Amino acid sequence: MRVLVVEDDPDLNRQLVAALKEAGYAVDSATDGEEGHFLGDTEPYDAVILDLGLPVKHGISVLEDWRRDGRTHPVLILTARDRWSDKVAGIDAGADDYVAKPFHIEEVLARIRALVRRTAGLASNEIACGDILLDSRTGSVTDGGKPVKLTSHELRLLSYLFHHKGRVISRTELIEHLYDQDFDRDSNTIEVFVGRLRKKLSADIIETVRGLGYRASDPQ
Amino acid sequence: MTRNEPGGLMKPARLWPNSLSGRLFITGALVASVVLSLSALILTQAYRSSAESAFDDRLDVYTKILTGAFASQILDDGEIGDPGNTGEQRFRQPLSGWYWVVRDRSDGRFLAASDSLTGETLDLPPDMPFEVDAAGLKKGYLTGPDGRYLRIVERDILVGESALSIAVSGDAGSLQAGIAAFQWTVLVTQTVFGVALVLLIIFQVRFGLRPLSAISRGLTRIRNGESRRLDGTFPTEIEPLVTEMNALIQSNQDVIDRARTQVGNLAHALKTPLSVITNEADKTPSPFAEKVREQAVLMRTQVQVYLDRARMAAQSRGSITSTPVRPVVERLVRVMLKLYAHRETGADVDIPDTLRFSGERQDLEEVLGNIIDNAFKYGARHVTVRARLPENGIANGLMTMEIDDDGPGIPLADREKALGRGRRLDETSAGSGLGLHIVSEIAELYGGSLSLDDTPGGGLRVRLRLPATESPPE
Repeated sequence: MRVLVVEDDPDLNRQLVAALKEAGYAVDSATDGEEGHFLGDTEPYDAVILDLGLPVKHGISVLEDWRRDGRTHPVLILTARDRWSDKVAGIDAGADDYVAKPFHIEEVLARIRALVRRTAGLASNEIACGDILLDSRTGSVTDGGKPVKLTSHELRLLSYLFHHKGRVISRTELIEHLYDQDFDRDSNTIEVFVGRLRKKLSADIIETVRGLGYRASDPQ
Repeated sequence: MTRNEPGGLMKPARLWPNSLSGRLFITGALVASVVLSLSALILTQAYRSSAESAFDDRLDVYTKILTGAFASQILDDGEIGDPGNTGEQRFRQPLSGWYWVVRDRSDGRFLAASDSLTGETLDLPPDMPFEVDAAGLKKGYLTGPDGRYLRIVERDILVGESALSIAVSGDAGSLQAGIAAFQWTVLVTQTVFGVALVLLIIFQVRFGLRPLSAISRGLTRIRNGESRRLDGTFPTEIEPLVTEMNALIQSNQDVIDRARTQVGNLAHALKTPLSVITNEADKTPSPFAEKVREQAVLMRTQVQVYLDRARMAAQSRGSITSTPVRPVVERLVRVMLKLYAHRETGADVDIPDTLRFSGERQDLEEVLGNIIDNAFKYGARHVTVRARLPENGIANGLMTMEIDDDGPGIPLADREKALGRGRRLDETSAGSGLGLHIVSEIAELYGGSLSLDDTPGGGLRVRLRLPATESPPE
């Protein structure tokens, strides 16, 4: 999952990026509204954290432009003042949820998780594919009840496929959603990780659809 | 005679009424009365002079005729007798009022008199201190025999060596009657004019002062929040007043906006560092970190409380705003439906279109945002928001809003706690409890109130009373 953080305060920005990376997300960040708007417009994100009080371009304005341009990524707004006017303005402009400052990092993580889940149409934190169970809250994977140890990249890949269970995901889409913009993308990386995942999991749940991409589905 | 009022206004003492219409009316009426009365007097006097003059001229004709007759008599035989036909029958009619007498000027002896006098005498004082005109004709009024009021003229003549005075009188009755008739006409006319003038003054005052009621209406619209300035063109005398008033309103609004910006900046400036501190404290748990966290939360709450108070105090001193209620509620409900989409809660809104909250939109949003958020959070299936217009339609009466949910409600015992400050009834939800203490404080700062009750179905009913007005029908 790839997340964009748009926050002008450098300390807070750093904290959010670090926490999200630790939770297994690929993270891009921007420190002003114009840069944030550009990134959101051009790169695919699974969620965006948007501060409202931004320099150069106001958060609400960025949000309105995104929605008008048809960008549907879920947005979590950060409000400096815990006032309903700001929350209402943000949600009405197209945000999906809000968090007021000062906040717990856990709350931000939980809400991002919920947003990603809801966008994927999933009701709970646990996604199952056959015997393989992914708990997106803890990031743990179990195979028939037994815990499976995955690297962060493998987990990210599995999580993305599981969140879009049943849908064919192209290699390009995977690359775009699993890596931040600074990552040196080698198109072989995906194949390598898919291979490794298949080895670690007992059931054959990742399907290669020739010429189109990969799909996670319940075993036949 | 003036008094100094507080604020430096000088008011004249009770001689003048305390109203522009009154002042204009009374001055107008006084001037009209004076002018009309004077003109009536002058007209009557002029007529009187003219009528008397004409009458005197008639009488003088007879003095000349008589003078002619007597002069030839004296020259003939030195005696005065019947003058013959004077042309006036009434000199022969007994006590007709038309008399002539001839006197010797040296001793005042009556030498001859008209037949009409019938032996009576005219009570002519020897000096006849009547007015004398430029031609030497003496004239005046006299009461004759049998009490008749006479107009009399006398001419002094010299015939040969005889110095005589010939006086001719006429019945002043018709003269007086003519003058009286004229006076009456003048009186009636002037009264009619007077009434017409008074009506005209009333109309003029009304019409002239009408722009003032336009100002009054404009100010009412401002007070109702329907407009932020006095619009329209006004007479040049009032234009400076209107300009100043609009400038004053604008500067008040600027003060509030500046205060709000400062306040907002302060909030922004403080909250981010507080956020950072809180998160750093969370990272390495220790008694110190816990203390830091706890104090940071307290700081945040306190900052919010005092910032709110400062803003509302600045507001109540100057800003006159009003916010239509229905759009605010609909927007909030839309937002809640989005935030709680996964719960599939439904909502109903029942609010009159003309209802306006007498305060800032942000405050209404804050109050209702908290309440409706709670309703969605704890409601099971359905939330209803309804409002009733202020009683009697009085401006800044209180409207009653009721927000119902069909959730578990709050037990009677816990309600005071829920409305209390800084206490969290629900420890599991994110945020500072129900936020009802903030709502309660805002409501009270506006002169309203917040109370909790049951719905018939057992859920919670939040009853909110806030100052409101009704905008006039379009």
